[in-house]
Amino acid sequence: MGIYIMKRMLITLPLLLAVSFLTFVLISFSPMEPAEVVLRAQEVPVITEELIEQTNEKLGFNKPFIVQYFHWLIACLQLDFGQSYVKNAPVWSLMGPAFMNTFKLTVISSFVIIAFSVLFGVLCALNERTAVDRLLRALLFGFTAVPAYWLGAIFIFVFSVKLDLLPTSGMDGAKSYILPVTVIALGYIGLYFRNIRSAMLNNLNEDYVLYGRASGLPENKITMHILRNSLQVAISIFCMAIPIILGGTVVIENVFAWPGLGSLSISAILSRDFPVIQAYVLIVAVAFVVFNMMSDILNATFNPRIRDGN
Amino acid sequence: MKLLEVKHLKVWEVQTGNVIVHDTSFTLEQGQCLAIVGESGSGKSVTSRAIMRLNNKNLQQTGEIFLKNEALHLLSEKHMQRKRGKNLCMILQNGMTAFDPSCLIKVHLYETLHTHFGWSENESEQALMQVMEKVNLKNPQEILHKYPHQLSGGMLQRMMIALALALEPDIMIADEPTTALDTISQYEVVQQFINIRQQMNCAIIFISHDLGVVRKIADKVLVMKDGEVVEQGDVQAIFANPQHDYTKYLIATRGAINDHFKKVMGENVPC
Ligand SMILES: Nc1ncnc2c1ncn2[C@@H]1O[C@H](COP(=O)(O)OP(=O)(O)OP(=O)(O)O)[C@@H](O)[C@H]1O
Ligand SMILES: [Mg+2]
Repeated sequence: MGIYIMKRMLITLPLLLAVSFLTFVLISFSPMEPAEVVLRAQEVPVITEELIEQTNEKLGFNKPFIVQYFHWLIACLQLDFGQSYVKNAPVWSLMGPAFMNTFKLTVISSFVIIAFSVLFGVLCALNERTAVDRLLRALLFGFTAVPAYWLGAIFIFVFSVKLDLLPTSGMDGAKSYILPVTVIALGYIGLYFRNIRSAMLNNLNEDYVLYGRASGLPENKITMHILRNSLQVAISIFCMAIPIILGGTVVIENVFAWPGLGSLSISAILSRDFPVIQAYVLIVAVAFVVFNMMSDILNATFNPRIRDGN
Repeated sequence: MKLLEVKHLKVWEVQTGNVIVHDTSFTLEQGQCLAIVGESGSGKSVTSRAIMRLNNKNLQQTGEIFLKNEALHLLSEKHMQRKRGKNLCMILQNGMTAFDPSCLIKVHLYETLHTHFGWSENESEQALMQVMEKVNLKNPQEILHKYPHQLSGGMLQRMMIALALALEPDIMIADEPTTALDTISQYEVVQQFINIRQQMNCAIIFISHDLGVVRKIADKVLVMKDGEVVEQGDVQAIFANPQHDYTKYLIATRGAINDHFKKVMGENVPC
């Protein structure tokens, strides 16, 4: 097992390198000359050739491409993503707190999503085609179909404005998590509980369930075996849910005025603040790679066949 | 005394009303081996699962099933559950899929023995060591700590037989226990059944395509076609003098199917 984890981590390294390179290349391909962008962002009134030369010199834009990349990469590893063109502050001083805010929201939402997806998935599978199953499926599908901003607005109106139970927006103590987490979770539970449900139903027809029953094992033991095998399908899905939510909170953060990555990236995109965009893309991409690795490791823990490499 | 008595068993699909097993009756005496033969789809598996009341929910059954004069068809699900494993053991066709793939082999075995006898892991292990020896599984310790995919189909098949031996049931139901195996493993598994017959007083219901094997180990044969019993009786009688056309057809065609088996058995299985 230890060897498998080591191997899997080593494979991740070149992947991370590739991802970082792609991030760098994509941003460099943008049509404007970077020095010009910097000067515009700093609202320099007249942009002369000379000024562009100077800026190129200062920020290293005239160095060979690959050198620029490695400079950038080494700096990134130390969490130094350069200076924001717009705010005239280090990118990480903007990105760090925003990242933590979004990360907290993501982690809490993920726990809620996983817990309820498993709960509802098992409930529906055990009561297949009964009223409980139909009702839950209809309800959860409904919540998934409704746009998040609309649901968010309704919740704010009902719980914050009318009933005055929860804060309308911002990030202010535990209470302010309730609404955004609920809206995010409702959007995803409806997608993920179906995976658990169908995995459980597929497993119900497996031979080992018949053999368990034929051996006289009690139903609760058999359900645990089914759940154990069904969760394997879900592990990858849940692991990938975390980076998806991390990179997809833009709408929610806007509705609830959450000072996170989503809000930051939108304003960076609008003002062409390339170092911030670059850092944002890199963080989300790295999150995908890292969680993908984690899902493989978790899968191997639960599924001995993967561990043995066949 | 009759050990098992099945009377007018009928199994049908609930939604379509399609009848899968028609009015089937048969009996099994203590220590006897009953073979059920018939082509694919003739209802052999459904019949055997009906005895354990383990068919899918979309199938329904009527008819009477008595085990040692106890009416199984009238038992509550909870009481029926206690009969499964303890009184009626099942051995599945494909050992590779019969055990939870994400658990060590021992998990299923210990859970089963704990359920029926309340044994601790230690006690279960002791009991299993003995029966695994009997079915020719060397290094029982090691095998118990393997995952299903790390063992061969034949080993898993014998593992199921070993568990059945530890449970000492009244009846062992083996649904094509040799079909998924290569010829050598088939031979070993059939040998195990022959040993069980000689050493224990356990009755066997043996479902098979393979008339050569059936002739070797069964006392009685039940021939099924399209969910109906077309013929039943003593093995010798049926092989010597088949009445129904379908039985004649099966016996006539079996030579080809069993050639490979005869070779390995190294004996004269008359055709
Ligand atoms: N759960 C089910 N729902 C509907 N039809 C079923 C179900 N199980 C079995 N059948 C049908 O019942 C018939 C008998 O099936 P069964 O599995 O008993 O055949 P079999 O004699 O065991 O065949 P084989 O030799 O291939 O194992 C088949 O036509 C099959 O399609
Ligand atoms: Mg069958």
